[in-house]
Amino acid sequence: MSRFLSAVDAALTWVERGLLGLSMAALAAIAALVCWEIAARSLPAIAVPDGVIIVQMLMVAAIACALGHATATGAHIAVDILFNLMGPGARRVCEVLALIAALVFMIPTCLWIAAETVEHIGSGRTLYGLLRLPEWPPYAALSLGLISMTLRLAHLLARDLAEGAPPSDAPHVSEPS
Amino acid sequence: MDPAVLGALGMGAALILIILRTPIAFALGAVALVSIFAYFAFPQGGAPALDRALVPTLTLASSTIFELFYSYDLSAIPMFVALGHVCYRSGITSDIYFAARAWLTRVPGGLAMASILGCGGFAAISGSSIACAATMGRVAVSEMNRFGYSDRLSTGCVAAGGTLGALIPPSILFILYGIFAEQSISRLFMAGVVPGLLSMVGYWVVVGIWTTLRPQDAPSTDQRYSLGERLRALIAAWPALLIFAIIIGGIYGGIFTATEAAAVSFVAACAIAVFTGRIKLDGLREALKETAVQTAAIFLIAAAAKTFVSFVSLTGVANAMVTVVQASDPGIVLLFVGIVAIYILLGMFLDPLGILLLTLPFTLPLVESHGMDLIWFGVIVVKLLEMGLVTPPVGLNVFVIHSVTEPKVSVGRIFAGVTPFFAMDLVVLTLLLVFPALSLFLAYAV
Repeated sequence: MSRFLSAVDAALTWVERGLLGLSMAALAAIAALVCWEIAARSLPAIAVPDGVIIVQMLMVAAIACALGHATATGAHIAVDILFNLMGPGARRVCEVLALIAALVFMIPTCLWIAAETVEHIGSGRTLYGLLRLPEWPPYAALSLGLISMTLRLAHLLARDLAEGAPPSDAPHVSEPS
Repeated sequence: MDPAVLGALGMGAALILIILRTPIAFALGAVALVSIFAYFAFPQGGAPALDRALVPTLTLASSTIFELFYSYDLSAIPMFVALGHVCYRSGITSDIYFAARAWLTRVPGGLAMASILGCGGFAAISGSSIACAATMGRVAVSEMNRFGYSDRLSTGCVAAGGTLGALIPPSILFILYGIFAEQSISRLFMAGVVPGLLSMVGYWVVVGIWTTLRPQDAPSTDQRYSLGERLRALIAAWPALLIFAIIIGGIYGGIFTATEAAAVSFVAACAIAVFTGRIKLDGLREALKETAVQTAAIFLIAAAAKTFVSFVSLTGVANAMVTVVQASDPGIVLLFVGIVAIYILLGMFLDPLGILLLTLPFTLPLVESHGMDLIWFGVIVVKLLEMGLVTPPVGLNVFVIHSVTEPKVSVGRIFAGVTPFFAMDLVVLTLLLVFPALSLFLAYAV
């Protein structure tokens, strides 16, 4: 079992790194495109058609593609107040409970969005705008991100149940403001 | 099932999960999904309809997530987060502190004042109170301790100074508030400037009073800087000043929107950091990596909170609470005393982002129904959220400073050091409540 979980971990890590690279590229592209659009106000000839739509698509990729890595590295914001007062057994129960809650949220949502993605790809629909960009790429990016996150959550739950992963003592609370 | 009961149960379940350390995004998302399903599956007074509940539930959840991610305006969040990481990694933010130290070192308590100014500048550019506390905790606290400052004063002023970041633009909390309250982000940014500066001056006053009452807590230093050295230190801080000028000047001058200011300032910071040799390609890559991860975490919470808010709206709990409050007619003063008390209480246990997204469905209609300005209310809410970062038992800034300072200062002493600054926060908050023009005159001058 542990060998299987290690293999899954390695495969997921490889996928998450690839998606994280995509996310970083999307972030850089957003910055470049927004600045380009500002410059294009003075030089309309260099304007990128459908710049806003492209930024919106890149936003989905930038956010969704990093979800798996964020989950693997425990970057999701949680509150430790009671957890720090608990014993190891209670902590483990809390960690398993958190993963179950996460999967309750993610599995149906992920499957639904994946189904929507397939439907968008099949429909061949395009967005309004000069370039008539296809509708499906942001859905595909969102699906990929959510699938990688859900698989990572499932892996963490399986690992916790199979091996009894030690609860982390590291502060799990981060703050984005 | 009675929607109001379902709403109350859902909110209770979410709160319990959060307290049990379920990440906020998953707690809100899971409860929202299950509760929305229950709402459609067990309609009040009707037969159970499990098969008809799945489609509206998942359509609501998936469209909420997609629409939030597929947003041009919200691209400001990853750009400002990236700006913070680049400035942090390139040392741009620390230069503000070194410049302030050179100018203020001879003033009684000058190092503490310089730390507050450095924190304000750092947090304003990085947008992160925690990053500010972590960095300034290492740099400024050790410097103050070296010159014999009391550890209560040194840690307290840095913990409080870190909270300035959310008020002085750019501020992620303002962006999210603007999106949820449907208010102009540029206006919110401008509205935060004076309250942010007022808070900073308030902290200086605290240091002044402290060092007057207890001069032994901040001994005068022998360190002297010539005018040339001070000017050089000021000039060395030009990247931070330029970036701040780009953000504020760009928005205030109508050159670009808050969203565009984020991208421009990020690109400018990268260019400055690379061309002055402050950062290598690896550093930029790390900054982008951290940005991607942090952005994903922020947006997942926001998406889950939006789904949760949809559930709360469906059940009508928010409206019911607003109606009850309005029926009791508490009056403006009592209403705001209640709102302030709730935010301070929640700030003791939850993180600012979670509190913001959880409370807005209830507080916004209340404030709106009294005809109050939502830009001004945004400033009040963000100030309250930041105050939560230094209140026990979960004052995040305090714990961060405790973890980075050497030798260790006990959490209790840091909380004791923060207390006078928290008292000043209450004074500033009262001023902001009594004189809305402090927030609004700049906001409506845009």
